[in-house]
Amino acid sequence: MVFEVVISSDRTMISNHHGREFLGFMTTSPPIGLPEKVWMWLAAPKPKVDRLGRPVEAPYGLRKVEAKLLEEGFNTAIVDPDHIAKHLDTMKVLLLGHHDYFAYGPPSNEWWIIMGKEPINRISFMRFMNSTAVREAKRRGVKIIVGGPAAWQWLWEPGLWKKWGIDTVVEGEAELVIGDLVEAALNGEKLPDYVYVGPSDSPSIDEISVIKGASVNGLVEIMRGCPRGCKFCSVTLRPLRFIPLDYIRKEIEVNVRAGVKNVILHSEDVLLYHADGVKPLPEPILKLHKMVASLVPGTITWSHTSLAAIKYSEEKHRLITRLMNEIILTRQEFLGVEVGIETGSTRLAKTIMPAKAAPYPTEKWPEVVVDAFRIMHENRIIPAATLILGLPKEREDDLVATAELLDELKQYRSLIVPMFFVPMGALKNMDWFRKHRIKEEHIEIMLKTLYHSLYWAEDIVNNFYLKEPHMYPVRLGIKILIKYIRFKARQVKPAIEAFLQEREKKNT
Amino acid sequence: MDLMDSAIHIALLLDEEIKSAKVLNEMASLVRKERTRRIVLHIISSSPPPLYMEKLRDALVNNIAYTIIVKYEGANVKNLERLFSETGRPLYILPLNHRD
Repeated sequence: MVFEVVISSDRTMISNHHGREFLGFMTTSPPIGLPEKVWMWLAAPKPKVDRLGRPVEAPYGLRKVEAKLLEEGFNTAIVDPDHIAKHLDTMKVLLLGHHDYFAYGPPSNEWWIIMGKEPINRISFMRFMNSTAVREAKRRGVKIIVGGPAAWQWLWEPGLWKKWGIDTVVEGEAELVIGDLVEAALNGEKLPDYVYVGPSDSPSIDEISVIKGASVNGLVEIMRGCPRGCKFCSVTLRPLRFIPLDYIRKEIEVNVRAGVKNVILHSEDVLLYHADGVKPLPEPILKLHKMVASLVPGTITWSHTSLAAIKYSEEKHRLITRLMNEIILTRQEFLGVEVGIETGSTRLAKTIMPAKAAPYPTEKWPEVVVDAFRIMHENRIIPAATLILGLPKEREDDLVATAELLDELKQYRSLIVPMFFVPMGALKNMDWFRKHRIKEEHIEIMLKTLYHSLYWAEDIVNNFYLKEPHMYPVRLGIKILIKYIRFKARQVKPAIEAFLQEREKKNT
Repeated sequence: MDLMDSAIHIALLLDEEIKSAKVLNEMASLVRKERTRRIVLHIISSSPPPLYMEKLRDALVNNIAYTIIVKYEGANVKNLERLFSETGRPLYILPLNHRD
C-alpha cells in the first residue's frame, strides 16, 4: 500500500500523551528542570504505528481531513513523522496540521515570554520541517499544504513559509476546499498561496465526514461553533451545528475498535449540546451521556464547558448532580474539563464577553464563577481554568477584580492558568500582549494562580490522576516537576519583588 | 476550485501605497455589489510569494466575514487583465485610485 497524499505533523501532535490529554499541554512549554528528551517523553511519547508508519491514534482534525479525502477517492493516510521517509517514492502532497506551529498561541507564547526560551512545540515543529525526510520530499517536488487551528501563524512567518516551500496555507474549516486543493496539487496546477474559509463556506452536517481511524484519546466532536460571541474567540465566528448522535456513535465505535477505550466529548461548551440558546436542557445531555457510557468501556471527559452553563444546569435542573451520580461517577473517580474565567472584572466582561455569563446578567459574572466552581468541586468535576491577561482596554481595577476573584476560588479543586492575550477572533486585529506591558498587578495574578495550581496539582496527582501502576514513572516525573516549580518559585520571589520595587522607583 | 465559483475577482496592486482599512472597505463594497461572500485576490507585486504577505497581512487579519483565496500573479497587472478580458469575466482592480 502506498500513499500519494500523506497527512502528518510533528511529534508534539502525533502522540497520545500517555493516554492523558492534559499532559499534552506540557508541549506548550520549554523543558523545565528536566532534559528535553525526558520532557518530550513525559509530554509526547511516540505512539504505536503499523508497518507503514500509520499511528493507531492521530489528532482529530487530521482524522477529519483524512476521512474527507478518503471519501473523495484520494489515496491518503496519516503517517507518523518518523516514518515519512517510507513514502518518499509515492508521495505527491504532504498535508500538515498543528495546534500551535510557532508557539504564538496561548499559553505557549506566555511561557516563552516568562522563561525566555522557545517552547517545545515550536522546537519540535521546526525540527520536523528541517528533517531529512521533509526536505527530500520538497526536493522531489512534493506540494506542502498546511492548515489547522494555528494556520494564521504562518502570516507572521513568511520567511519560513518561503524557506520550507509551503505551497498553500488554509485557514478555517477545510472540508469544502481540501479535496479541490489536493486534486489541483496532484494535477500539477498552480495552487493559491492562502485560503481563508469564511463562515458562509463552513460545511453543513452532511458535508462533515465521520473519522475512519482512531483519534487521540478518543476525542470526538459533538458540536461546532458557539453562540456566546466572545470577542477573543475564533470558534464563535463559525455557525453553530450540533453533530447527530448517530455520527457521534459511529466515531466512538471507530475508536473502541482500535482499542481506544476512553472518550473526550469535544465542544466549546458541552452543556450547550442541543440547548435552548444558552440554557442547557437535561434531556439531550443525559441521552448523549447514556449513549456514550454504553459504548465506552473507559472514562468520559469533556473538552470544554462554560461556568454559566454549569451553574444554570445545576440550579434549574440539578443536571450536574444527576449526570455525575447516575452516569459519570459510576465508572470513574472524576470528570476533567477546561473552563474559561478570563477576567473577574464585570466592566471588562461586558466589553469582551457580554454573553459569557448568560443567561445570568454580566454583572453577576464573579458570582457565576464562584458558584460554578463550588458546584464542580462538590461533584468531583476538576476544571482547568483560563484567565486572559493583557486584554484590549484592560485597566488596573480590572486586574484587582480578577485577583480578588482568585482569592474566592482558593478552596475549590482546580488548576488556573493565566494566558497572555493573543489577537484572535473578532479581536484579531488588536495588539499582542508583550513583556514590556507586564505590570505589578499581572505578576500578582500570575503568582496567585501559580500557588493555587501547585497546591491543587499535588492533591490531584495524589488522589485522582495517573493512579494506575503502569503510570508510576509518569506520575513520579510530574511530582518531581511540581516540587521543582515550587522550589524555583521560592527562589525567584526576591527577584520579582526587587523588579517591582525598581519599576515603582522609575514610575515615581 | 469550487470556492472560486460565484467569487468576485480582484487584482490587488500591492506595490501601491495601500491602507488595509481602505482596501477592505473597497472590497466590502464590491462583494455587496456582486452579492457574494467569496473573493479571489490576485496579487500583483514585485515581492515574490509569500513575502508579499507582509503587506497583505493587516487586510487578511481584519477579515472574519468573507472567504478569501489569494493567488500571486506576478508584478504586472496587464497579463491578468488580458486573461480576464478574453474570458469575459469582470476583474476589479484595487486600490481604486491606483496609478496606471
